[in-house]
Amino acid sequence: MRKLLLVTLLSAAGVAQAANDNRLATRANDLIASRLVNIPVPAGQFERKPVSFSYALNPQNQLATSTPFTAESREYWMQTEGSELNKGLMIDTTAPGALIRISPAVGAAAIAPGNMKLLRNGKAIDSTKAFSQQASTEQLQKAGMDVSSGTAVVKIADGQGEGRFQLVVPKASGRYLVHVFEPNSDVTLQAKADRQNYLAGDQLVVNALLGKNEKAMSGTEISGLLVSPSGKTYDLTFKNENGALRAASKLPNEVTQQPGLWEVQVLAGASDGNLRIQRDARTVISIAQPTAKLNGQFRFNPQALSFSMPIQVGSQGRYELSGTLYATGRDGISRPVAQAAMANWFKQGKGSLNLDFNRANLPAGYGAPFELKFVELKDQTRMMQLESRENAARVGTPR
Amino acid sequence: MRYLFVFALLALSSLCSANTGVAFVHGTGNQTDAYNTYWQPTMVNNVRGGLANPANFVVINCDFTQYMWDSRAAGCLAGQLSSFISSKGITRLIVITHSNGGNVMRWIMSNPTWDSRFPNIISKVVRVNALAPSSAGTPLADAVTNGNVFETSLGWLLGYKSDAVKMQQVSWMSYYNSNYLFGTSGRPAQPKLFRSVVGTDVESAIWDSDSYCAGYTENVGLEITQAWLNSCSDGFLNCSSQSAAGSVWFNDKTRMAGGEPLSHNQSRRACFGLDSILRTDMSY
Repeated sequence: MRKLLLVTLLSAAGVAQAANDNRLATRANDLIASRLVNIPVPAGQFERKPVSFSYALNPQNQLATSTPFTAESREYWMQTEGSELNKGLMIDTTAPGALIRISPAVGAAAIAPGNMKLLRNGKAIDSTKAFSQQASTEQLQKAGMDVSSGTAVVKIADGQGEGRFQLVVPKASGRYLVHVFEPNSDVTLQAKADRQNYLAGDQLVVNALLGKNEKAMSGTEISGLLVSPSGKTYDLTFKNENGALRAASKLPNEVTQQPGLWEVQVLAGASDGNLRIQRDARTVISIAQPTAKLNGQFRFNPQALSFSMPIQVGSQGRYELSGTLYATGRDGISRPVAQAAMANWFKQGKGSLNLDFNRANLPAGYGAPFELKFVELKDQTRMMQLESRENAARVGTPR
Repeated sequence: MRYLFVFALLALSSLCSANTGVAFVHGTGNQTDAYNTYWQPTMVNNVRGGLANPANFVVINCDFTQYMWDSRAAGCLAGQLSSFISSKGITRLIVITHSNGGNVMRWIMSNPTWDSRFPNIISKVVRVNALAPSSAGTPLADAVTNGNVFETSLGWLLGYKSDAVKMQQVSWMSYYNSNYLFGTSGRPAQPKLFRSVVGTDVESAIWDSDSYCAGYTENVGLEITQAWLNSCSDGFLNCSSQSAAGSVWFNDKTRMAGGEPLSHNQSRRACFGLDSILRTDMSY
């Protein structure tokens, strides 16, 4: 009973504070810009009219904070010459059933899957036993795999096991890209950025692990690159910190006109006896130029269930504010009840955007106090997330 | 009981007075004649035959080699849907998507403020029947986005991969699902029902006539691409990707004639009674 009283008092105190102080709350993982930039509007067709939208959510469907993607690779790429394929390209595998895809560069001879031969210790393996599956460019493309012309894929038969093979393509000529994918391998390279959205100049941290059954392999060599949507690359230097591979890097201020995400590419290798183990992993992040920001204040209209937020605009463009309204049920539990968004075109300067949740979206039995969560400010002209606040505000008097 | 009867009558009368239409939204590719080449007439005509007015249909032709938000993708789709809605006076719109078409439609429903035409489209949509949607991307898109930057930096690119292929890499879709699209686990639901038909397997035995629906050679390729995928896949998409957004309407084997699976190519064609199920759905 005493605990209940304490919780009620604390809750009431929080509500009272929110009512008097209309500043948005911040948390450690929120994305908030401290500066603004003025960059031109990119080429393209953009909506200019203000648009608002809201709809009801099912309160029983819980929402969660999204977490960064963990890339897990069982594959690697290498480039080679036709002359190497004529003699026998060394391919090390760690598990049976490896898939090998060879793609010719411009001007190189096309590869037909029937022309590939597999050797072990210099001895040719019977072609009927070497590969369990093979596919031509036409077959792969018809299956929706958008491979380049002249590409072929073979799957080493499970019965051949793992280890070192030589792949021979007698008529290969020119340069080729070789992709080795080992779906059955327990050797993986994992890579994960510490967040999904960054602002230019922020600190990026990437953690990686080359492991066998998730146990780190000793002697791992690792390198990494950050690749912008325009293809510009930036080195990522990994350090071994008590067995954990970690790269920390200040993000560039590059303003890219290309839409799309930035790629984090990690390449790792290690030795396992005589075998050379390689893995390449990729994941993505977004790096935004701070073209606009919320000024940190808000006004709440309890009758309309509407939040109004001033924004500061550094670059002309279309900006969207979105958020989720949580309301308190009869059981005292706060649940998501409505989603709202508004976007408009702004010139450099000040403006404001509203989140009109609309009382009609409030389910029966739900009311104050309300919470505004998952507030996001996006630049729709440049496809960038500029700001996010997970628990932005708590308003309204408890019933 | 009387109230229930009145409510049922009202619901029936509102359905009768409604003008229902269906839109067919293709997957990745730049289509100019999706009616003949992507869906094929048997599929389209059988499905639209279930409408009170079978003339209320549109087959979308857009450039879905672009990113989903591009004016040539979502913008084009919004334009064709808006024209269809206004020219036919559509009040209830059922959208049938295949593959990446589900992502473009989900873009419209998740980003209503992006384009002033989007809210009106959303208001008319009653549901999206997403056939094998690539909601969480596919490892095959990762595989064809040629290797790593060391290959590309050498200046011997093997060929430009479309933005749509890049976008359907697993890590990219994970980002967009978390930040721009609704309907996946932990994210707000979409404003309208988005339900998927999941293809769980591929059959390509030369002696099995079922392998020939939608083309035998296409299914042979799918058997091989399945090596990149989980044990449950339609040869192009893992089941987990097809069921990542919205709700699962049904898995292929539970509803298809003879318990047949739907490969990725078969889920856009009149195979194993799929067209009949979609036709029946037009009357609700």
